[in-house]
Amino acid sequence: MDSHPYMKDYNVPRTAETVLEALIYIYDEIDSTLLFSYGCRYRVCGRCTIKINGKPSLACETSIRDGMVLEPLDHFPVIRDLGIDRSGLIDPLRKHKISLSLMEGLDAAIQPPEFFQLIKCNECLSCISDCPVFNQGLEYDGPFFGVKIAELHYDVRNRRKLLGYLESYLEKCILCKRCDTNCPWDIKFSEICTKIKGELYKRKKTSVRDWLISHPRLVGFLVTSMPFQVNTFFKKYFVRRMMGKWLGIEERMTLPEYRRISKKL
Amino acid sequence: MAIKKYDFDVVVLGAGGAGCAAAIVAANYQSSVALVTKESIGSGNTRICEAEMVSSGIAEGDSPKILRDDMIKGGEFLNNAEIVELISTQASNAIQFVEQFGHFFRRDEEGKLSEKAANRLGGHSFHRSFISPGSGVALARALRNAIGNTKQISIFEDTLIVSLLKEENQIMGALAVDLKTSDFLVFQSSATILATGGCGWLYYPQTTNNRSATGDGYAIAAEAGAELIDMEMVQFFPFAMNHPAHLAGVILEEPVLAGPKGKLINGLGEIVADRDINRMTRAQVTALMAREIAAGKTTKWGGLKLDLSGNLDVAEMIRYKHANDEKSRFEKVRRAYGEDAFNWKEPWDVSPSAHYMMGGVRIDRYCHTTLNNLFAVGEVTGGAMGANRLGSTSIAEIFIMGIEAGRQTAGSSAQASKKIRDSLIFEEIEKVEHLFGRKGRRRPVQLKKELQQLMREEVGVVRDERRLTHALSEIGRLEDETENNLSVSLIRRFNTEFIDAIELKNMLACAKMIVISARIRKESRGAHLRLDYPDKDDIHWLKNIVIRKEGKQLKTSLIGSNMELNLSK
Repeated sequence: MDSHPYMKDYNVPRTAETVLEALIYIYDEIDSTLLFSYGCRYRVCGRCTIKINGKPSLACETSIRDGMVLEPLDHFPVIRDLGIDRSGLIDPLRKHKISLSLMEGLDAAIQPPEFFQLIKCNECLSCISDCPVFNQGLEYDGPFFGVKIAELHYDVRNRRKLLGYLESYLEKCILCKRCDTNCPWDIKFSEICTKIKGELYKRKKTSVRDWLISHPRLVGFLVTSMPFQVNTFFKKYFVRRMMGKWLGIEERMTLPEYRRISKKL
Repeated sequence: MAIKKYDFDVVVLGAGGAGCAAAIVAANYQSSVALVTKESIGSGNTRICEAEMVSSGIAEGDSPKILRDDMIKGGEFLNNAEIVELISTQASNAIQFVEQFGHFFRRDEEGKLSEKAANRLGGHSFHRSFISPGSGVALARALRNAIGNTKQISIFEDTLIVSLLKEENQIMGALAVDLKTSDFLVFQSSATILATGGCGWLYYPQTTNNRSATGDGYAIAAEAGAELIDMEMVQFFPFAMNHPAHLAGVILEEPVLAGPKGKLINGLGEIVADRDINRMTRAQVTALMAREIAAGKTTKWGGLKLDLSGNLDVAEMIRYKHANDEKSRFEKVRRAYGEDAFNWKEPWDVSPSAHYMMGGVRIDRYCHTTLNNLFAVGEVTGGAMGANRLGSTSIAEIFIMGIEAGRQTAGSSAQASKKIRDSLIFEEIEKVEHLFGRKGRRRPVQLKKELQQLMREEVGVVRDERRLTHALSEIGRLEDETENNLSVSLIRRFNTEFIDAIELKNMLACAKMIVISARIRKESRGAHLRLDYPDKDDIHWLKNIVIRKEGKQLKTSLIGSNMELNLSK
């Protein structure tokens, strides 16, 4: 794969309106080696996604501007230039068993609105490109596959219960919302995550940690009413070990120092 | 460059709807199936279509027989009766087939697949076409999930098929190039299924097709000596965009878009049609538009104006508009034609665009081609749709015939003892290996553009003897340049000029067959419109034109249409 990435400038006439038109012009008239992908030319197929000024976007629908920087998507092996290798997308399909198990004898199927939102995904891969958790050794296959599993979860025809599976998958999402911002179909993956987590918490008792996080005013009042004692307590090694073990609060993390809030500045 | 050999029970060439269906079903009967595509699984035209699928009759009074009759009338009686029979009776099975993999067709308010959830498209007698809220992409995803989870299927993406391998009148497999490495891959199999789709790219940019639709399958089948049929029947979709340049040719919608009160107006402001355009077939609307275009009575963009304002007080059409707006289907209209046009207050500039190839590799109802061990499915085949295809039938066809082709491979036995001769492999490799680094003066992409312009101008919506003859000689000149003067880069990692060269050869082979057939048919029927023979001639032309390559020549023959003129009531 590309071991010596480099940038190259091209000048394109103003008659080119979209980035894809510009790329086609460059290939046809200037550089016969330029590699890039496209399919339908009008935002349907999802093959032409590249980073445009750092943001994953569809080349066919992005208007071209002077000085634009075009790069291949992140997190995929680059073949060369703007072309990426998408063949690695098949393995997670198998790993997560992404396929419908049809319920027998189902006559009527009224799908929830979440289903219709999720099926809009055209696999442009903008979400994976920007996901900060992807490829960090945590075995997270990105929002892309989260969307696929969530689609099966919301599909009323599906026999398999996926809530538990989704829970372990979505735990790794840090809700940074970069995938939401990039998605050309406005699939709000972070909202789906939150909804799924909401569904989960309806079924299980809330963990102590999550109770603490969801009552910030109360906790804030408690820790700032006795700041000195609290700060000393949280510096004790065994306290942090217990918090790590019982509450799931990472012991290697440095907790903030609390002080009494005074009314005057 | 390495040469890698593979042995499979079945090799499927092309991974759109037809190829995926064939592979999935073949995997039920055989232990090893290869699925080969020059893009990714679930690409091609299946991915970008609306994925409306016809059913065999859910409305009161509808039946497979009526669907069959509609298709035959739409095809102007050139259809292969047996295949139409198969499609019309099995259409509802196709719906279940794709839904089991996760695809979803829109239901009515009670959640059922009833008549209320179905569209009535032009040429259809009833509401019977189901709508996909996720369009073709959802279909492609469902198929990819199915393929990914079927152990017996080995996937070869970014792999370009170069030729079929034939020995003693048997197709033994295919030769391909792994585009990422430029290695040659030899697939040996006891059954080869061709599912490579159409050739709309011949008319770029005046096409609705995906970039991959370069007619590869027609060309390699013809080269191997298979019969092709109805090659002159290229469907031009009537309502496509014509400006700006990056959206030219892009599809808008079926004649259904025109609703009951839409009007077609030519460039001089004259009304060409002003009612029930939504009931016409694609060929009928295109023919109306073609007359005006041929007479030069067009807008400045070369098209006609579709005035939809009359439908703003038709409740059914308002519902239709809302459903499409939810899918963001006509954002391109807003972008290109403006907000008023998007809201139907201003007319849309529309031009016909090359959309579907009715003609193709000749098959029987079991998907057998005229070559042993070669099957073909989907748009690459010819015969099912006759001279014109009705909307929502192709999506049904690819799955019904894909299933059939997959089933047919059950009869193939692995011929382990009969290996493909090394000398044959080297012969075929030699035919294309020299393309890498070829030092001529014409880049294949430039010749492609010349060919595309030629096809648009001389072999387009309306044809005549003078232009067809000229086209044929120009194709000869381009073939010559391709043979002797190509310039191709020497890159090993994804050589796009090599791809262009192979596609150029395939496009030229298709173009030649289209032109030859178009010249022979001296009448106008369905999608084939001739200025010099504007009428339909049932006395002489109720026949299909068959083409076959013999040696270096293309031989043509006529076969009587096997349609009965008496249709059921």
